[in-house]
Amino acid sequence: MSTQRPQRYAENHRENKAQLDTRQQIIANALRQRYDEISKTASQPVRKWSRPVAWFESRSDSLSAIPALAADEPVECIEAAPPDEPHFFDDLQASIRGPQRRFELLTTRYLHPLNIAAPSEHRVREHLLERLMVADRARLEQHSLQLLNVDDVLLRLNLIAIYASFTTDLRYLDALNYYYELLPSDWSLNHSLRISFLNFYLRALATHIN
Amino acid sequence: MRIGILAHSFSSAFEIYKAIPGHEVFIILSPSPHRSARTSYLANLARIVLATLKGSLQLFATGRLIFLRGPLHDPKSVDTLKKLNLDVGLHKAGVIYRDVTIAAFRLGILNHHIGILPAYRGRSVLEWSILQGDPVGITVFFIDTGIDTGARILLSEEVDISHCRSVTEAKQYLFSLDKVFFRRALALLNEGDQAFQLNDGSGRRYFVMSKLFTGVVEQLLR
Repeated sequence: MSTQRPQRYAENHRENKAQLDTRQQIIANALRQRYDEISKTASQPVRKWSRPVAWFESRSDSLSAIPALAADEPVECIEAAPPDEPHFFDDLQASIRGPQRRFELLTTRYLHPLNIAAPSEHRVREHLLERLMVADRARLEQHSLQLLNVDDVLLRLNLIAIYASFTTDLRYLDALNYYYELLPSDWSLNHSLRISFLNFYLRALATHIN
Repeated sequence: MRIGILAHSFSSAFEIYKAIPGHEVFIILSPSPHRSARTSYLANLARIVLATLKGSLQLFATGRLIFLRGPLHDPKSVDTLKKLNLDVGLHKAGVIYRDVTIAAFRLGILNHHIGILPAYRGRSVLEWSILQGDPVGITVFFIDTGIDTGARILLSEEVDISHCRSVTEAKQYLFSLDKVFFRRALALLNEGDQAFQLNDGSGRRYFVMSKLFTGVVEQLLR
């Protein structure tokens, strides 16, 4: 008995590891296929991003910084403390039926877009993910594309896409998968936020494949 | 115990009704939010006629089939529920409940969730469990007004789905176990003094899965 137990444990361990390897391989293969598909229209990432430990203070504005980041250009910034805006999250929640207000709130807070990945932004990320994957998705699936505020949806998709490169939480990457599959390919084709979304998505795919 | 099965469709409620003998069971039908009240009513009448042929006359004779005219949170619906003096509700209606409806049941409303709580809340939890290499299973818990956030878990178990060859088949199998798990949960409640496992919110809320990842899950199942 005493010699069989370690042997069985080792066999189970090998079996579990083999299953894990197979699963990861299947996921990586699927992501690689999607990467190849998108890389035909988006630019491939080269520069490595640093995740903000606290906050990046920037003189740039959100709508200039997003395309710059997406094009792999640097956005100047310095490390700082997160802004003291105690009501930001409440305001964001209150704006669920006010896409223009939400757009203003998000562009004002994320002057440097990488700040969406800051540790302090957990609740905001979860809120944005939920809105995209519940209310907005439902509208889109009922073919009511015209009911969506293009700027607002694309901005939130960009923020989620940026965070997807920093996290192993596959829900964020899958929100990008979902919207890539759902949005008509000619929808807002020349909108700068649509182009940056695809670049960020490609970067997130590359991160998860590696 | 006095049990109320809350459903939009008579057929699904009747399956559970047949599986939980030994209780006073009511079937409470409310209009589906995706249909007009009239269409819901007519669809259910047709199902009832069919079920009657299969021997459900007792249900009619004892007045245990209740039609609500409005949604479950409507004051008239809530009044009707309160008058029934029900101990437990069984969730088979595709809605999120409000406090007034939940409070109409002495112990609350039970949900049969096809995922392991607290880890897997929300949608597509079967697929997400498989994708992430975690156990697949069923949890029966008392709901609250959130998405799978009710704190009291009555029953949570892994379920073997190795015989299922697709996501659809696996989901159908897990959903088909609702009567078995509800029956067991009610037996536990009948025993009294049961300890609840805490649904502490430590897990994640999941969302509908993309085609890309669903394809991965299909491969993993095969």
